[in-house]
Amino acid sequence: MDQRSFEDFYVGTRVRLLRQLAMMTGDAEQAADVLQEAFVRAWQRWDKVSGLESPEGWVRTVAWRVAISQHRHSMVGADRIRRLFGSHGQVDDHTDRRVEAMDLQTALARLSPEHRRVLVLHEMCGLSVREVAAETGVPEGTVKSRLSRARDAMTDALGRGYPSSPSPEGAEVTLS
Amino acid sequence: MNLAEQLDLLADDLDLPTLPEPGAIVRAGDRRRARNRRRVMVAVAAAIAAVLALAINTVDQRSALQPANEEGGWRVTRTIAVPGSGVIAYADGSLWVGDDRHGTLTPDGMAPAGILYQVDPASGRVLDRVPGVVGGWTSVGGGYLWACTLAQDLNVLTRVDLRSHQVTQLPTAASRTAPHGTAYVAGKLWVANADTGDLVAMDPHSGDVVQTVHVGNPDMGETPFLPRTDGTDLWFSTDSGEIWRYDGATGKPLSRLGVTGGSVRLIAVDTSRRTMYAVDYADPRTILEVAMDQHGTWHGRKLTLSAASGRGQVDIAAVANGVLWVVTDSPDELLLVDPASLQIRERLPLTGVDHTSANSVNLTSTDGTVWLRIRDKVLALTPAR
Repeated sequence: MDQRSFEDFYVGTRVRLLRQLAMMTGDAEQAADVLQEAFVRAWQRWDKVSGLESPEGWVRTVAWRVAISQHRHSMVGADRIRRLFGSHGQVDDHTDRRVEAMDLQTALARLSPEHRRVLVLHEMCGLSVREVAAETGVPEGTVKSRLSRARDAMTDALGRGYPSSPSPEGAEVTLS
Repeated sequence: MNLAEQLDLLADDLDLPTLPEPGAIVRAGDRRRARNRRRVMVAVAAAIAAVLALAINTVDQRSALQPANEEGGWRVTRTIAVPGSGVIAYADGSLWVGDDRHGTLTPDGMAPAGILYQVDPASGRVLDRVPGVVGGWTSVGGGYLWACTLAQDLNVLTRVDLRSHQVTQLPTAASRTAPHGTAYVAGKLWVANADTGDLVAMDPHSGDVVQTVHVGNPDMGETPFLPRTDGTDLWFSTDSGEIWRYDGATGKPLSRLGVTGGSVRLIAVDTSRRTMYAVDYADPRTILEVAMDQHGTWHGRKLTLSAASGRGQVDIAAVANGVLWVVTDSPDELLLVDPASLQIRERLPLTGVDHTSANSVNLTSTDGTVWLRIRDKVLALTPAR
């Protein structure tokens, strides 16, 4: 297997993926653990993974599955998310940005893992609805629905005047 | 600033751990490949050893778990060494103790690498070892032990025949999605699926799906999770903060009880007192008592385990020998709660908990004895005389 190409891939994607996984899981330490596991699995299958259209998406998906498996086995998984995001509430910095960040953290922590995943994939990773559907394995309609609900929940938590990105193509804006 | 930019800024604020250098990842992968090759050879040796009725040591020494007050309390009367971490269940006169091998697969990648040990509770001796079993959220019914196997995204039910010890992996009706707990009622195995919002009834012997009940919209949190039974009805919690009751024979909904505003989890059922215990994810330090009456009623009784935020969160719980046993993490403790007063009777520290395992601590009970599976030990606790 081509170790050099794997190492280049690893170095070029690890920080970006770690940021994304940390936002998806709400737990930076867990994100690092599951991402490391996903990279190890990628190296074990590098002949196949390197030939995929998106090796980065493969690693992200594997890491997410490991994380969600851990999450579902843990009775306190949801609380871990709150602990991570909640810990920022103890800082003394009360700048506008900090306050906004705290609001955003709280709103994110209230989303279900799947809604948070879809939101991060679309908003932070820049994937289209179709790409999110391919990566998450759910129909595009479900992605749109989850995005819509996630963004509605964020808007509810952050206030109606909160500026947001454009709606996903074809997404319903209101909840049924 | 739009949402995408806000998320980026929030990620900037996170204190991210440092990932290893690329060489370390490559070496870890190479070691794993080598280990898998070795496992093939080890498996052959292990099979031979199994024929020789591998005995696992029964150790007299006391563990670090000791009751705070032996008079009127409980004490550890036996420690049985069983490798790894995993589930523990009591069925057909035996203890069934799992070593989940951290959810790894056999070298061919086709089956879980874990082992289920059949242990005689009277002597502590291993009667058999059953390979290919990994899973959690176990239940017993129809002559089988059932485990939900999510390892490596297998997402199947693992069925262990309690007589022949034959292991069968059964897919549930919803492909590629994980089973989230099972309960055996009225000759059917009910399987919860929190991803699809379905309860699936299976014939326990054939594995065929005989009924599918869509209980709600998963996007609204109406998801069945960890079903329990009182012998007649199915009870399960949802992410919408409710406890629902379904008829175990017909699959028809009977009642819905709103308990909290967020996710709630049923953690234990006391059929003798017609009582359930639940935990609110928003406050996992507090146990809620719910009556298993016609409507499922929350009388407002609750027990707060610790006043300190983030400490003493409920991990698992079980009712045995008239006591509600609660395992918490942060700190790792075993709490004995009096169901009548809903007060903590004893608080026992647990040491050596393997937090990397999906099944770090587990409980089951036999007449007069509570069995605690913790790391590579099974502890027998009996009332002090």
